[in-house]
Order: sequence, then C-alpha cells, then structure tokens
Amino acid sequence: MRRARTVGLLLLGVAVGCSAVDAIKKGTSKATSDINKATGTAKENFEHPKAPPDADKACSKFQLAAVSYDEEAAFGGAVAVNLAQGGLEIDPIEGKIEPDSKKKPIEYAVKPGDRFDALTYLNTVGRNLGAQSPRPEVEWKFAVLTDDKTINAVSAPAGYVFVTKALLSKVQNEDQLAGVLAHEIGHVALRHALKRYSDSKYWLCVGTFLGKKVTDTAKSGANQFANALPKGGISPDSPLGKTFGGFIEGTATKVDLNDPSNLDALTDLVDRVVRPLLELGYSHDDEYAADEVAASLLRSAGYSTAEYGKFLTSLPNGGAFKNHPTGQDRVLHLKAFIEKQQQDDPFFAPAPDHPPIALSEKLKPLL
Amino acid sequence: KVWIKAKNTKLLQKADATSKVIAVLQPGEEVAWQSGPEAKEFHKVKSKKEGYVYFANLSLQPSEPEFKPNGEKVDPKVFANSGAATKALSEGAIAYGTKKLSREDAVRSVIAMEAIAAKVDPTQLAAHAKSVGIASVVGEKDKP
Repeated sequence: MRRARTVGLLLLGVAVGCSAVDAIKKGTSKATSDINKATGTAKENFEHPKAPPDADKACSKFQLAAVSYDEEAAFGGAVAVNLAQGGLEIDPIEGKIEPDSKKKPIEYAVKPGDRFDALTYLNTVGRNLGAQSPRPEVEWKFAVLTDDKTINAVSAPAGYVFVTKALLSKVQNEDQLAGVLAHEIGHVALRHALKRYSDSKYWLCVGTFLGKKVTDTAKSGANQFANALPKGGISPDSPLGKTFGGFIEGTATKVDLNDPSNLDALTDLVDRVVRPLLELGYSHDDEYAADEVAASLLRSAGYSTAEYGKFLTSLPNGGAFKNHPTGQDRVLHLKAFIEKQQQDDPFFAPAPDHPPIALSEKLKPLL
Repeated sequence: KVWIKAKNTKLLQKADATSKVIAVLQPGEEVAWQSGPEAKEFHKVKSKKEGYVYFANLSLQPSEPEFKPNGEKVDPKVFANSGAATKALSEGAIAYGTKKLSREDAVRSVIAMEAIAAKVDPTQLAAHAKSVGIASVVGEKDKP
C-alpha cells in the first residue's frame, strides 16, 4: 500500500536526520523495536533526559565517532528507499532487483524516455553543485517525488536529494532550482542527518545497556525513560538487543547495516530518524547552516543568490513548521552571511551579472 | 595556503580560461596561494607546478573529510579512487525495502535514480555550464 503524503506543510530544506530521542513523549514505532517512539517538543532544541552516567559512558562513543562512508551509504540508501515510498517520477525497469553484472546500471535499471531526460537535466544541475561542495567526492543523486501538492525538498545521507513535483512547478528558473538543490547538498555535506543517526545509535545502546544491567527497573533508573523505553530497557534477547549488546564493551561503533541480523536495527534507525524529522524539521541553526552552504555553492557555480532568496520568500507559510525559520528570516540570514563572506573570503564569488538562467525544456515532462 | 575545492580543477598556464591546462587538480589538495586579494578571476598558485586557477575552485578551508570504517580520515584522492562512493544501493537498504517495507517498487526507483545520476559525468557538467553561460568550475576530465 502506498503511504499517503499527509504532510501538507512547507518542509523546504528539511533533510532526514532528527533523532527520535529528542524529548521523550509517548509514541509508537512501526519498527520491530521495543523502544517507544519519542518526538520533540522544544521550539529549537530537542529536550531529552540524560542517560544514567554508566550507560552514557558506555554509549557516548556513538556520538563522538565519525560515521564511515560505507555505513553512511547503507543508512542513506535505506532512508532513500523509505522516502521513495511516496513514488518517484522515474521509469525503473521491471524484473529482478539484483544488479546484472554484465550490464551498466543505466541499462538494467531504468527506461529511456522524457522522464529520463528530465532527470538527467536535474542531475546535471545538482551534480555540478555537488562537485564544488564541501563533500565533492560524494556520489550526488537527484530525483523527483510524485507529490504535486507539497512544495518540499528532502535529502538523505550519502547524497540522495529529492524534490517534489510541486516544488519543480514552483521554481521559476535554474538559479532557484539550484538554490533548493544546494540547500539539500548543504544538509548532507554538513552531516546533519548523520548526527541524528549517531544520536539514535547512542540511545539504542543506552536502552540495551539498561536492559542488560538489571531486571529491577527501579534500580536501573529506566523508569525515567518510561515513555521511551520498556521496563528494564531493551531486552538483550531482542533483535535490537542482540545488535547493540555487542557494542557495550569496547570502542567499536560501526553497525554493519548490510548484515541480515541487523535488519531490525536498520529499520528502527530509519524510522526514528525519518518520522520525527517529518514532524518537526531541523533546528534553525541547521537550516541556516545549509543555507550558508547553498549561498557559497550558488555563487561558486555562477547562480544568483537573490533568486534563491526570492524563491524562499515566495513560498506559502514560509514558517509552517513551528520550529522552522521563516523564509524572511532565512533571507535576512543569507544577506548577512553573503556580506560577511564578501568581506572575508577572497574566493567568494560576486553576484552574477547575467539574468536568471531559464529552466531547460527537458524538465517539462516532470512539471 | 589554500585548498582546491572542485573536482577536475584546471591549473592553467596563464590567467586566461582559454590558456593551456598544465595540470588537473582535485579536491583536498593544498596549494600555495601566490596571488593577493586584489587578483580577480584567476589566482596564481603552486602545487607541484605553478599556474593559475579560477578563483571559485579555491577555498580557505579543506573539503570535509571522508572516513574509513575504523574512523580514520581518508585522503580525498584515495577516497575518490576507491570507488566507495559509487557502489550500488546496499544489500541492507534492499532488504529493508523488500522485506520490511514490502516495497520493491521503491527499491527499484532508487536504483534507477542512482543509475541516471551515475551517467552524468564531468564532461556533461562542463558542457551544460558553457551552454547556459556560467563558468565551468568542474573541468571535463581529470587529466590535462
């Protein structure tokens, strides 16, 4: 069954990555996890109780360690699949999913046609920006969600960027399109999603730690997490417990997300990252930071930041998310950033002296 | 010192976009900045060779690092040559989509998305930039 796109709010600039442990509230998880879902409450920062000191000591390594690219790619790919449930404007080839090693992916994976050409154009604009970004070696990939109601863009770790059909119909020129793509590139480049992923692993580790420690909930201190954890924490015999139980000792932090025995953990991690993000969005700081990357990329590539600003302020309910900065606030922040960069950075490009670049006609099948 | 920012950055013999390409530099490479702030479009730099680079290809900060499974940083060139970034959709993501979400269509769509992206190479990026009148910050190829 196709998941309905019920989020009719402006989510521009939202990249996947909020931790489910941000502020503990009642909730449920669709995953097989035995941790209840947490959702955020605070306007800017997501409140959550501190873990008991011994659990924190055992698990803080997840928040401190960098995530390797292969782990990022496995997680990002799963998030991309989750987001693609709403439908992509693409023509995949039917048949076995396993790659055909005798053929290039373009031959076994996708059909040629108008949508292929439109997506090629989208990827040309996007990958040009990505190749100049703070993470130029990431394999940047761009696609269009079939949602023609919600003006939105989302991204996932390892360079997956999605814009809705509604957004494509809203942008007036290539500069504005580039601005949206550059903002999402910013979220991925700054690893906003991966921080949430690392936080989620931390809390799953905490839950497992509490589950292993004692069976008496009063002694374990698990009661304070009553809304987020079952009594006594995560059972060591549960799939999540088995995944994270092995991390309590030692310094390892990498979860092999391709190991079938960790599929439940992957499912839970995707769920606790995607769901709160779609409900709450990113913090103001993360949104502004992504906009700063976008401004630098736009100028570097020769696009107009003024056009991006125009797009931001043209959006209905720029601050539809109570946690989201308004379009006006974002433009003010952008202007201040650009002024500073022009003073401090000799490589920050001036505004282009050409008119906005028209969108390619190839995009029409997607509009 | 400054860093090369964009893929396939051309090191030019002269401060002119049409000048001979004497080397192609990649992100993460540190170069000695020999121009001053008064330089306009092309800045003189020195890596193994001396030449001129388009200013948008330079950065005051290095690229964000990539990481190995053991947490160590990877040299950008090593990362680029490893093919780590261009691997297909992972087994874990495929299993998640097919077994947990029961959505083979979503998995196929993401694989198709990857295929289209992979086909767009630097030659096309440079050609598009030229066709719409913006600078080809990303060069067509990784060799002069």
